Amino acid sequence: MKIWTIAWKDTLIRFRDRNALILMILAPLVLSAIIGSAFGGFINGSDSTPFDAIPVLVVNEDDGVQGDQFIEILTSDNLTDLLDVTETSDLAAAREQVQAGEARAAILIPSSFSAAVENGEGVDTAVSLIQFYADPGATLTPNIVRGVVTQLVNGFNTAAVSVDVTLEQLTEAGPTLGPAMANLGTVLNDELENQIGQNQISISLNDVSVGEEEASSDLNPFAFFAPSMGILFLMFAMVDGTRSILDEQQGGTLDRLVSTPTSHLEILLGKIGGVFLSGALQFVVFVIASSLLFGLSWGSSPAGLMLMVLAVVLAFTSLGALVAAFAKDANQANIIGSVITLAFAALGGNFVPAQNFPPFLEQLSKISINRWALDGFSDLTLFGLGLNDVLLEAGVLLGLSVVLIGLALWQFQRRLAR
Amino acid sequence: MSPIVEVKDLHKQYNPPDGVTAVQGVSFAIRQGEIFSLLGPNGAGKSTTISMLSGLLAPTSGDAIIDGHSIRQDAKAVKQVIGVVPQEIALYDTISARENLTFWGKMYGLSGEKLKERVTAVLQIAGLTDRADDKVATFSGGMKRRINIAVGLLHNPKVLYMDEPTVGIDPQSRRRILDTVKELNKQGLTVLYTTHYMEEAEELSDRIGIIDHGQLIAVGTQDELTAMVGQYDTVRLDIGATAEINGTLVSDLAGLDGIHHADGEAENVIVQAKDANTVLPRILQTVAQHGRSIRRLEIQEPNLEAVFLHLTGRALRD
Repeated sequence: MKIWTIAWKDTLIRFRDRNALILMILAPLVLSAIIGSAFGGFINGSDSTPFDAIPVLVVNEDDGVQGDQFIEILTSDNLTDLLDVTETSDLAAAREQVQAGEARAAILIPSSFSAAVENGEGVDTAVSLIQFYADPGATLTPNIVRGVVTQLVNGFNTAAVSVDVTLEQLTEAGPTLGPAMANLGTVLNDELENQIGQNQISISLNDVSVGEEEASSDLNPFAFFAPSMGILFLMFAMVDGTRSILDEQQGGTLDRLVSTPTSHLEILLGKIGGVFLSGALQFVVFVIASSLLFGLSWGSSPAGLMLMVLAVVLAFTSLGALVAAFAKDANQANIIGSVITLAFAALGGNFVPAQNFPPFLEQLSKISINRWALDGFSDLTLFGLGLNDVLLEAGVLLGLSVVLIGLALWQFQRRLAR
Repeated sequence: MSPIVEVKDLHKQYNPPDGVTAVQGVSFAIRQGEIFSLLGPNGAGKSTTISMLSGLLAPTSGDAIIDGHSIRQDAKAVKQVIGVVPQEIALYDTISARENLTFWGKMYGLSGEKLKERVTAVLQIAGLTDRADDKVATFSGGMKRRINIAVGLLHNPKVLYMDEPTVGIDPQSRRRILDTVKELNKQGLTVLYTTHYMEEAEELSDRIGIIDHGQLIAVGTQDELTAMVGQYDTVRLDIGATAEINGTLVSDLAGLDGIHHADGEAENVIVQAKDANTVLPRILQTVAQHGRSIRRLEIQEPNLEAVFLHLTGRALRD
């Protein structure tokens, strides 16, 4: 009960602080709006298709009809909103265009493609290789193209196309990405059944990365940057919030709390609980505000979203608590907290998606809470995934929280036992 | 009557074994219904002592029994019976006085109607009922001090610790606080009061403990303590930095009617008299007859300041 009393008091104080409210809610909304406006014109919600068709290059080395059929499907009316397919004969030039960011992916249909399809070669013997080239810097668009091509390859393999995981994911994301994506599964099934027939052949997709360091803009910058800014300012607020333990120590209210018949653990859990509660409310308000103001969809899984919000807020709260526990005073906590916040934000991909980093840095980014938070929210907001798909991210964040809070409580108890 | 507070040989050393020893073997007892003051200069160990008695600091050695509970063995029970008014204004500025009091009341385990009742009661004691719903940030220093005291009274404690509650406030607010303390004491509240203001200790206290450098150097009623320096006023005369004391001047002063004792050291002459004001004209005349000029003159009655000076060789304000 006392834990709740302390937590609620802190929440009340925090939400009455105009400066804190600016930091917690207004700043991420304003920044999201600015970035969203800079990267796309869909913020007013008037455009039902929130992105342009994805530029894809196709190099068809196949002389037979199957290669043409493959291209026909890619360029069918139902996919024109999604893919902007250009045929070219120069594979090297196509790869350069992908690397330069002028196209999101390049697809090579090899010369043996028709023969492999028409001869009905078995899975083990006839392997015709469709190569897929993508810019590893781009996170979303190559995945969509890859999804489409994978489905086509599967379709040519089995004729009766089953919707695999990737397609299901894309279909789930449909409502958030526009009508073209919403109908993708149906479109692919119909087209493939009509045009391929019952041929059984194995054609594998060879995924090739083009370039390593080229940064790319993604399909829907707002869908990435809104959660990113929300997370960044949540982190600022959480680190700042946990510093209030030190402010209370400095102002004498912590001593007064200790002089009441309230245990150290109750006081500390109450203080940490207050920061958590403020953070959770902050993020919920941010989610609602960004949905209402900018029409941003936070995915189709309320349970997944709730889990991620709780896990992320708890992780940042525990990080802030740890900083406060080991800092000499509030000023030192402020400096250390700010440094960690900015370092984690940069490393975790708040400013540039971590998928754009060089491989070693991309791996290193996984030590930051931000990376797991962004991955989880991207799964929900960009890819339309569900609760099960964010269990890993949420699990890592919750595990980390337990460790950090444990350390923070241990150190705080030591400080209070004078 | 057995004491409600019994302090036994309390020691506190910070960061032992090399850290500062703030309290060294302090022992005293406070009877129920008594106002007991710890009087001493800043840094004497008053706040450290009160912090140990409040359960904020663990004693290095020694113990204290508050209403039958040991601060070492049963700190939680001790905290139920004490109210603490810290030296700092330990309140939340951005919420109202009522919200502050409600919060602190809950920390003392109050709830429901009892909590509302007590909040109303202590607001009346503080004289701030009409400002109850204003943010504490809008209060004057004196008003904040009063709410600071009100918090300590919320749960009807048996003993109230007040750690320099009048520091940094205007005379009117100080007067009000002192009157409040006396009124609360009349109603039966036992008070442990720390101050470095001699006048407050004299006005409020049934008994006084004088503390310096972490040691309690004297305990008693005001009369008992002043008796340590005798019953005479002390007149100090500064007759010039370069002047040597003329033995004849000192002996002439000692021979004046009403003078108990006269002595001289360096350029100062110290005269003790039963009533300094009565003999002062004769003292000034005698000094003038010896061709001396007086640069400074100080009369000290037999008060706690004199006691402190007598015991430590330093003024209380040093």
